[in-house]
Amino acid sequence: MTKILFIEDNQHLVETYDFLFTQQGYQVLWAHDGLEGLNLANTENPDVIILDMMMPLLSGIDFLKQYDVKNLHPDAKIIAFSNMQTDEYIHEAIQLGVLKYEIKSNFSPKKLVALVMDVLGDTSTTT
Amino acid sequence: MRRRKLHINVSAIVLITTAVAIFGTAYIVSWRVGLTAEENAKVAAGERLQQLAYQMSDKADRGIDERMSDVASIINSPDLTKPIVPTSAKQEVVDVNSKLYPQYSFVGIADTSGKVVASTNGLLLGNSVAAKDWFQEALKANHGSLVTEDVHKAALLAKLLPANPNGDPLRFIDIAGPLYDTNNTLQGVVGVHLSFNWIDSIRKELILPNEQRDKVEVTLLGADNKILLDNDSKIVGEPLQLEAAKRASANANGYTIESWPGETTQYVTGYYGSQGYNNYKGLGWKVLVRQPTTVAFAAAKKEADSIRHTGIILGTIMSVIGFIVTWIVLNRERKLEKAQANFVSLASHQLQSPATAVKQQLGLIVEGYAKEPADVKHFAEAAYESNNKQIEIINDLLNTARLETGTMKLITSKVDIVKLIKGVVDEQKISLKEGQRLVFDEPAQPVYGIFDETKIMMCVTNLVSNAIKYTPESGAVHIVLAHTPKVLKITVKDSGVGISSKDQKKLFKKFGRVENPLSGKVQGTGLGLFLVKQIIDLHKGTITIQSVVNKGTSFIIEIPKE
Repeated sequence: MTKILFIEDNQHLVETYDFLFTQQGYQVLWAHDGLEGLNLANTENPDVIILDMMMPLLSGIDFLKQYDVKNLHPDAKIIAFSNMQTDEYIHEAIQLGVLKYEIKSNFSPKKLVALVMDVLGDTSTTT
Repeated sequence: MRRRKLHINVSAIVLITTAVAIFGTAYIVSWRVGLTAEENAKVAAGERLQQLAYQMSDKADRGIDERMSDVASIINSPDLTKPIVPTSAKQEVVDVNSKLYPQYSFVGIADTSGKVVASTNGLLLGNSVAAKDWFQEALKANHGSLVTEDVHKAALLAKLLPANPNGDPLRFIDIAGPLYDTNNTLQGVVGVHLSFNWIDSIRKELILPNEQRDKVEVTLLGADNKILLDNDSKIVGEPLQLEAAKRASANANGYTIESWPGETTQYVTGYYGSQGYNNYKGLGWKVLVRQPTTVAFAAAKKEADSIRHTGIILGTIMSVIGFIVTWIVLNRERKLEKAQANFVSLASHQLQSPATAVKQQLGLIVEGYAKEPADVKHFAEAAYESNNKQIEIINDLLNTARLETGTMKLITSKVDIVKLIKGVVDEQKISLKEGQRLVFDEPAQPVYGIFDETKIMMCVTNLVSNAIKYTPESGAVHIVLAHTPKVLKITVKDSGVGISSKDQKKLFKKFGRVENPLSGKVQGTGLGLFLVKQIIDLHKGTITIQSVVNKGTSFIIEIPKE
C-alpha cells in the first residue's frame, strides 16, 4: 500500500486529507509539526511527503535541512504544500530538494489527488 | 533577492551621499568662514597701518603747530616790540628762548636788511640772511603771520653745528615771522631752524619695538613725493613712485597692497596725506607705513587655517554622526518594511489557512468524496467552524486598521461583567482539550461597570482562548474576578509553558510575534494581544503579565468601573 505522509498542523486539513486519501486506498500517516514529521519520515519511509511550511517546533525549511534530501534521501518525493508564497522561501525549498512547491489554496481534493498520483507516477484513475 | 540588493545599493548611496553632503557642507562653510575671517583680518591689518600713518602725520602736524606758537610767542615778546630795542636786549630774548626751546638749532633775529643781530650761541651773528627764503617770505608776510619752509639743508648753519652722530646731513624746517613794534613798524624778522631730527623722534615714539620686529617701517614724503624720511637714509631725497603715494592727497587715508620700487616683496602700505593742524596749513607731506604681507597677514592666515582645520574636523565628526543617524533611520525603516512585509505575508497565510480548509471540506462534499450523510454533515460543520476562524482573523485585521487610523471608538454601556465572563466561558468550553478544565469562580451578585461590552468581551475571549491553547491536557485555566468600588480586575491564569521575560517584552507589540514568521514556532497574526492592550488602553486600564516558565502565566486586566 502506498504510504503518504502529511506534515500539517491544521487539524481540519489533516482530517480532510486523511478521509480523502484513505478512501483512495493510500496508507495515510500524519504529523502535527515538523519534528514529529521528521521522526515519521525517518522511520516510515513514506512514498510521498506532503509538507506544510509553517508549523510549530520545526518549520518546513528546517525539516528539509534536517531530513537532508540531497544527501540522505535522494529518492524522497516531497511536495511542499503551503500558502506561503514568498519567492525567497519557494526558492529555498526547491534548493533543499522538494519536487514541487504548490500553493495549498489552489487545490481542491480532486486536484490534490491528481497531484499526488502525478508525483508517484500512478496512472490509475481516481473516483 | 534582486530587490534586496537594489535596496542595499540605494541605502548605501543614501548613506554615502548624506555623509559626503554633510562633510562637503561643513567644509565649504568653514572654508568660506575662514576666507571671510582671513579677509577681515587682512582689512584689520591694513587699517592698523593706515591708523599708524594717520597718527604719525597728526603728531608731526601738531608738533609744527606748537613750534609756530613758540615763534609767535617770541615775536610778541614785550621786550622785542618796543619801538627801540637795544641789540643786547634782543640777544637776551634769544638766549632765554634758546634755553626754553632746546629743540631749535637756531633762534635768530635779523634786521630789515637781513643782517643777523641776535642768535643762539652767536651763530651767523653779523651774517646776512637776506637771500634766504624764510627771511624774504617772512619780511613780506602780514603782521601776525608766520611762514614755514619745508625741509632743507642749511649748508652754512650745518658747518657751525655739531654733526649728526650717524653722519647724515643736518636738515631743518624753518619757521619765521615779521617783527613789528608797538607802532606797527617793521623792525626785522624772527626765525627759528627746527632740526628735522625731531620728526624722527616722533617716528621712534610711534613705532613700538614689537612693531619694528614685525618689520613695520615709516616713510615720509614731501609734497613732491620725494623721500624726506626713511629707515634707509641713503634714499632720502629720491622720488618714490607708488600707488599709495599717489592716493595720499590731503586728508586721504587708506592702505594698498603692492610692491615697492626695486623690491619683489609685497607690502601692505598704510598712507595718510597731511593737511596741517590749526594755524599750520601743512606742507603737503605724506606718511607711508608699510609691512610685508607675509608678516601682516600671517595672523590672518593662521586664523583662517585654524578655522578650516576645525571645519574639516567638525565636518568629519558631523558626517560620521550623519552617517550613523541616517544608517539608524534607514535600518529602522528597513526593519519596519520587513515587519510589514512579514505581516502581510503572515496575515495572508493565516487568512488562507481556514479558507483552504473550507475549500477542502466543501470540496469533499462537492466533488463527491463525502457521500454518506454523516460525512456530509461532519465536513459541513467543519467548514462552518473554519469559516468562523477566518472571520476572526479578518476582524483582527480590521480592528488593527481601525486602531491605526483612529476610527475605533468605544461604545460604552452599563454591563454586568460576571455575565460577560460567563458567556465567554460557555463559548470557550467547546475548545477545551480532553481533560482540560476552565474554571470561573462566579460571584453570586452581578458586578457592574461602564465599558464597551463587545470589545472587553473580545479581550477576555482572546486571553481565555490563548490560555486554553497553551495549557496542556489535564491542565486548568482559571478566571478570577475581583473588584473595588472603582476598579474591575480580571485575571486569566493558565498552567501552560509560561512566557520568558524576553518574549514578554514583545508580547503586546503589533508585530512582536511575526518577526520571524517562517520559523513556524508561533502561530497567529500577532495581533491578538496587541489589540487587547490597545483596547484596555482605550478604557484607561492596564494589562499586566505574571509568568513562570513551565508553570504558567497570568494575564491581569484592570479597568475603571466608570
